[in-house]
Amino acid sequence: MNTIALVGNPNSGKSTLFNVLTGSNQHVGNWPGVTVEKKEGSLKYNGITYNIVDLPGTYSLGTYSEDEKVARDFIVNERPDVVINVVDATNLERNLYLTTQLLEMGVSVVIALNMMDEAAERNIIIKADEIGKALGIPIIPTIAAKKKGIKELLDKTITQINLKQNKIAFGYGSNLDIEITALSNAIQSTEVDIPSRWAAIKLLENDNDISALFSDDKGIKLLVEDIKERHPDVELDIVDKRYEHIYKISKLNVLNPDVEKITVTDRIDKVLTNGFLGIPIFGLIMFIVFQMTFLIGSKFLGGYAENLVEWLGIALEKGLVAINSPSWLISFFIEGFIGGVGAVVVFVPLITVLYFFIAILEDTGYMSRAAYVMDGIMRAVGLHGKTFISMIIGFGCNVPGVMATRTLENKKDRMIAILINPFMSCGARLPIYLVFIAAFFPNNGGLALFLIYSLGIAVALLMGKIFSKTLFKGDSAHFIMELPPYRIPSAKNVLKDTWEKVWDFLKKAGTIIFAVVSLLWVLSVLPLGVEPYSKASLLGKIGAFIAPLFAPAGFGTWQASVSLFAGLAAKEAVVAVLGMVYTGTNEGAELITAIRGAFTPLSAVSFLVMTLLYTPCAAVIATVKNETKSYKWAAFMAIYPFVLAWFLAVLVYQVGSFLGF
Amino acid sequence: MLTNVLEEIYNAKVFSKNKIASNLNITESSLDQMIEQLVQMGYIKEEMGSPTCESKCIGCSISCHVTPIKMLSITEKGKRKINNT
Repeated sequence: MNTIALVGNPNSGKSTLFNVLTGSNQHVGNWPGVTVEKKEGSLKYNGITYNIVDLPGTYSLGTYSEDEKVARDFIVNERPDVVINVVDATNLERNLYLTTQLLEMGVSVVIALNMMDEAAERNIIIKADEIGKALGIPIIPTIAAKKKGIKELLDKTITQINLKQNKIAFGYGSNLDIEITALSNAIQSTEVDIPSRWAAIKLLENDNDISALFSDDKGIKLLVEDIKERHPDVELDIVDKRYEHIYKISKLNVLNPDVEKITVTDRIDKVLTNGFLGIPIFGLIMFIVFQMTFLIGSKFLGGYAENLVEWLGIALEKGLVAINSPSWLISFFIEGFIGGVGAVVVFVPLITVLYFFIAILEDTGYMSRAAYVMDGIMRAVGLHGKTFISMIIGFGCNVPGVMATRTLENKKDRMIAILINPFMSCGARLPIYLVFIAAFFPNNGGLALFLIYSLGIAVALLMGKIFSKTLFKGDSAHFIMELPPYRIPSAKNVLKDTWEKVWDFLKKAGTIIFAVVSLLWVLSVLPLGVEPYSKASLLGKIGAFIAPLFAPAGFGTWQASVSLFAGLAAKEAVVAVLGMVYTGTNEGAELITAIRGAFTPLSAVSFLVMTLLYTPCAAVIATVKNETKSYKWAAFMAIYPFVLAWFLAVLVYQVGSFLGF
Repeated sequence: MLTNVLEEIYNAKVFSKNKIASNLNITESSLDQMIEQLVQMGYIKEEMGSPTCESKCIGCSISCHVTPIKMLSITEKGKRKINNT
């Protein structure tokens, strides 16, 4: 029985054609040794039965994937009588690459130029006969889904069975053709039974499977090495010739009037990535995002979260009193849990809105533009352009931000990117800003947030410049980043992304923040008998011990000091601790009101500068240690941002005080 | 063709498939395939600009970036080829 194999790119309509040819006479199994599906069936045509094999969809016949290997091994080892190469007429140029490889194998090929209806809909005009002549094989237009062209295809296929082999209609340049012929002749004289010319090409393409067949043949190996010495880029040259051949054929015989030369994306990018406008537009977009965050998250939604936390606190307290709970337990839940974790949770609406807008920006494809427009600045200060990508990721969380620096090849670029990443204000620091903005700058929330984030970027760039001039000197490598086409953001993607981030935030509030708050609550009521949350408690003593350090920055209180200390575990803990210690000292007082009493606008700014820049959380330090494999750099990461943050916070407070703020 | 793609990438500031395909008068789909082959042959390095989320970041409050930024750079082998062309 003659065997007809179907070969084609994925989505070329190959399986549809297989179903049309075999109807219900098919069975499905697996190719031996692999998990690739094997579909085989039979076709009775003009009284003769043919075996039809549907080979896996593949773009080429190399060894990079199981699908490619299965398709190729079947053709080489099983030698089907004819191969029907199913080609997608709407994507001819790409599909013909596989065709050229089939021709190299010397098998008998018929092209089913499929999906002609879709090509017609797109106004693609294809001179099928001319392409057939250029390739030296029959080409039959088909619409497998509508069973059109099938009879013509079968007639031509059966005629082709008797021809056994196609004439290869293209070469690789005279010099290389001579080499291939010599190698092919040498292969023919061996006992290896495979198409010799194809094997010669594959040996020059560094094909491991074919090379293994000649691993003991010193003559062949020497010949291959000699050719490669004369043609160092022989693999590329061979692939190039295939494309050249395809290019010539498609340019002469395919008319594709619908291809847009200037797309909507190009037009938008002309403005958004403009050399002068790109950065101001990026700044404006972020400013609008922050303004919208405050407008929607705080003014419209903020009250609901506060009311919910307040209601929970009252209900919990009533419940605990009703069951005669001891006072320490009530204190733990109300002042510790609700006061601490609740202080973080009330900012969930704002955080949700911010993540929602960031998700929209990501889904439209704008974030890669943001990275691109910042590329110029990055290079100007001696940083690798890729650094900004890790910085953008750092806006979410510095842990993946530090990990994202893995894409930087040289140590200089990578170390700088790691060391400046924590200045990118991560999401965990947001509640700190939000509580201070609500206390002191409620009417300029968006602007204040924008300035905080901008300060983080500015300090990162400045430190990057200093590091590239001192610790890590050297040139940065060239790279380009892909600007994907803009698209309308998908509601599903945006909501899913927002939800995942908010959920992670809540999980952290319920676990790490709760653990930190619980520990600090214990410290706040010890030693026994002391007034809880007083300076006499262990917590108060720790805070009071650290406090003098921050006095020059204007926030030398034990409460502020202990909150910064807790922030080393996780940044959200800063607000959680402030919530706990202030509601503890003055039961029922709102955190924001308490903050207004404990800070001045100037010391609040100084405190914000400190929290923006000081030592990153423990998870980031651990990641720096893992990524650099060095305790020294992890220690440096813990110390230098603290020193820098302290210096700038003191500078802000002292200069501000001098100026009379 | 492949050398032209290599040169386009080398000289480009950003990787816009549409722009490079348009400059070379080929389809974006073919360009994708050519880039994949150049990567496989070691002339180009392709990277995604964000870490994979296979290992959950401990202590990280935020999920990984949903839209990784794809980056291409020319390898030493690629640079040699361009210089010899």
